[in-house]
Amino acid sequence: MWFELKMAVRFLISGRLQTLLIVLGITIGVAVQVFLGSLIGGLQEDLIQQTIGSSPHITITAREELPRGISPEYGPGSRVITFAEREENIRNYHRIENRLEERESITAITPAVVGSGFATRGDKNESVVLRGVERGGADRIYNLEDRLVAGDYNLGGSSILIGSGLAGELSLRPGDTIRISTGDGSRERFSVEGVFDLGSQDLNDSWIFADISRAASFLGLSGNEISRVEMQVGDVFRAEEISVELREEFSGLQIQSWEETNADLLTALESQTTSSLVIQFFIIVAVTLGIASVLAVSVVQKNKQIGIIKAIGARPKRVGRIFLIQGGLMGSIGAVMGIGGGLGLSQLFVTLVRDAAGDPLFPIQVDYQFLLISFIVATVAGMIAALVPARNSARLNTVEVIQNG
Amino acid sequence: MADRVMDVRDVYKSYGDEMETEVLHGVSFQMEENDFSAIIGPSGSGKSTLLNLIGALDYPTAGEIEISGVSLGGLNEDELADFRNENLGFVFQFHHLLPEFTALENVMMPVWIEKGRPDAEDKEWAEELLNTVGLHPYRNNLSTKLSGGQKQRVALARSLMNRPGIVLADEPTGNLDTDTSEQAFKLMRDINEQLGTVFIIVTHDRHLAGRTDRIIEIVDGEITRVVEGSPEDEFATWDEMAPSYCLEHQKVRSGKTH
Repeated sequence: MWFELKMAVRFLISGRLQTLLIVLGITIGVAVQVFLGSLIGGLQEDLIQQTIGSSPHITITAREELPRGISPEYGPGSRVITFAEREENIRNYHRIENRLEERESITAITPAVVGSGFATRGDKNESVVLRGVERGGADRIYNLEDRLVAGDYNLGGSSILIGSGLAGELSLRPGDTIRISTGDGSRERFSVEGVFDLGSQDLNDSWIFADISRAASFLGLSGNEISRVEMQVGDVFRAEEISVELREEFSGLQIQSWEETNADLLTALESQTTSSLVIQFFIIVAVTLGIASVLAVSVVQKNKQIGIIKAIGARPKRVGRIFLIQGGLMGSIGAVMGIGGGLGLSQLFVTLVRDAAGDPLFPIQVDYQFLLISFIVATVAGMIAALVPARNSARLNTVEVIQNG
Repeated sequence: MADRVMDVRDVYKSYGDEMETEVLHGVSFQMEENDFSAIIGPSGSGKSTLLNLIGALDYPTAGEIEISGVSLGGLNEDELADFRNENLGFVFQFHHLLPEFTALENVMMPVWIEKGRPDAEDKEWAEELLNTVGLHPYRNNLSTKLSGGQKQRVALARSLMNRPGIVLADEPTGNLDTDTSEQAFKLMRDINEQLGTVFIIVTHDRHLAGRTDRIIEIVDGEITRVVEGSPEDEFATWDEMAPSYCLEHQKVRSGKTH
C-alpha cells in the first residue's frame, strides 16, 4: 500500500490546481451539509426542548373518566350550575411506582394530583389548574426551581407556586394570598411563595403547583389516591415505544406519550428531516460527480505514468488502487475542511442571527456522530467516485501507451 | 556454453477479432548470458510486437516464450507483472520517467512496486546506479528538469534497479542526438560487460545495431537474418545491398535455430 499511497499523494500534488479545486468543492459541499444538519438539528432540538423539555414525556391516568359532577348554586333569581370534570383516580400508586422504577429507560417518576378551579383575588377571577406534586419529582420533570422568576421554591402546607401569567393577571407577588375554589365547592386560601415561567403562555396563565397531599385533600381525594403518574425518559424519541410496553404491563390504565399528544409537531419535524436529508443527499451526489470527473480526466492525463508503472511490474489492481486512494484522500481532506467550515458557519450564524433581545434564535446543535458520518460519507463517496476511473486505469493497455509515447 | 536466459520458440501473434492480422509468423531465437543483441527491421515488421512478447507485456497467439526458465504462457496477468518487475528491465524510446518524481525516485520505482518503502541498501544501490550513468548530482531533480539524454540515462538506471537478467531497450537512442546516443549506447555496453546483464536493443538504427554482438533482422513478421560476432564492419554496408547478396556474403544463418 505504501507504493499506491505514495503515487496517489504525488499525483494529487502534481495536479495542484485540479486537486485544490475539487477539494474546495468537497469542502463547500460538506460545509453546507454540516451547517444544514446542525441548523436543522439545533432547530428541532430547540422545538422539542420547548415542547417537552419541562413536561412529562409519558403520563399515566386512570382509564375512564367519571361522570361530571354537577354543583348547582342558587342565587336570587338565578341558578349557576358548575360542571366539574373529574378524572378517575389511581389508588395503587406505590405498586405502579415500584414497577416503573425497574425500568432504566425512565429517568423521573412523580405522582400528581390535578384538578381545576378558580383563583380569586379581589374581584378578579381566573380559571386555574391546580397540580399537587412532590417537591423533588416536580423539579425533575418541570425544572421548577430553575424556572422560578420570583420567590422561593417552597411547597409545604398552603404554599403554592403560580405561573407568571396568572401572577400578572391577578397582580400577585410572593407573599400574597389568593383564594382557590373548585367546582365541588371546596374553597381555601393559599399563600403564593414563588412565580414560575414554564415557557408556555397557556401554562403560565393557569398552572398552580401545590404540595400533593394538600392538593389531594383540597380536591377531595382520599389519602392514597392520585390523579396521574408523570414520567420523563432518557431518550425522548423512545417515549412512544416505552408507552407501548407500559400499556401491555398496565392494561387497566391509560398511558399517553408526548409523541401522541404532539403528533403534528413530530410530522413537521420528520418532513423537515426528510427534506434536509434530500438536500444533503444531492450535495453528496454533486460532490461525488465532481470527484469522478476530475479523476476521469486525471486517468487520461496520467496515461503515460500508468503505462510505465504497469510495464515495470505494478499489477493492474494496484494501479486502480492509486485512484481509489486519490478519491478517498480528496474526499476525506475535503470532509475535514468542510466540517471545520460548517462548524464555522454555524458559529457565525449563532453570532450574527439574533432575536430582538440579542439572544441566538436557537442553539446550533453539534452532533459528533453526525460529523463522523459526514466524514465517512464524503470519504466513501470519493472512493465510489474513483471506481470507474480506477477501473479504466487498471484496464489501460500498457503496450499502446509505451509505444505511442 | 553460457546459460540460456531466453528461449523464443515458434511464436505467432495475431491481432483483431473479426479481421485477424498475423503480425508474427513463427519466430524463434535464443539469448544467452552476457548477450548484447539488436533486433532490427523496418517499421511494421513486427519487431515492437516481438519486444512486447519477450517483455512479458503481451501473450503470443501461439508458441512459447521461456525466460530464465519460466514459461510466460503459464503466468496470469498479475504473475506477469511480478515477473516483469523481478526479471526484466525496460528502456523506452520516449524515456518514460514519471514527471512527478525526482531522478532518484524514478530509479527506485521498481523497488517501490516490488516491496514498498525502500531500505537503506536499496537507496544506496539506486545512488550507485545514478552514479554509474553519471547523474548522481542530479538525483534530487524532478525528472522534468533533465535533458533528453539525462532522462534516458535515468531510465537505464531504473531498468537495472531490481538487478534483472535482461534489459529490453526499445529505440533507446531514438530521441537523442548523435553525441548523447553514443553516450547511452556506451553505457549499456559497459553495464553489459560489468554486470553480465543481457541487453536486447530494438532499433531501426543500423549503425547502432552494427555495434552489438548479434543482429536479428525481422521483416514482415519473420526473422530473415541473424548476424553473429561483431558485425559492425560488414553490416554497415547492408543498407545498400540486396538481401540475396547479404545472404551470400555475411555470416548469416536461419532465424529458426531448432
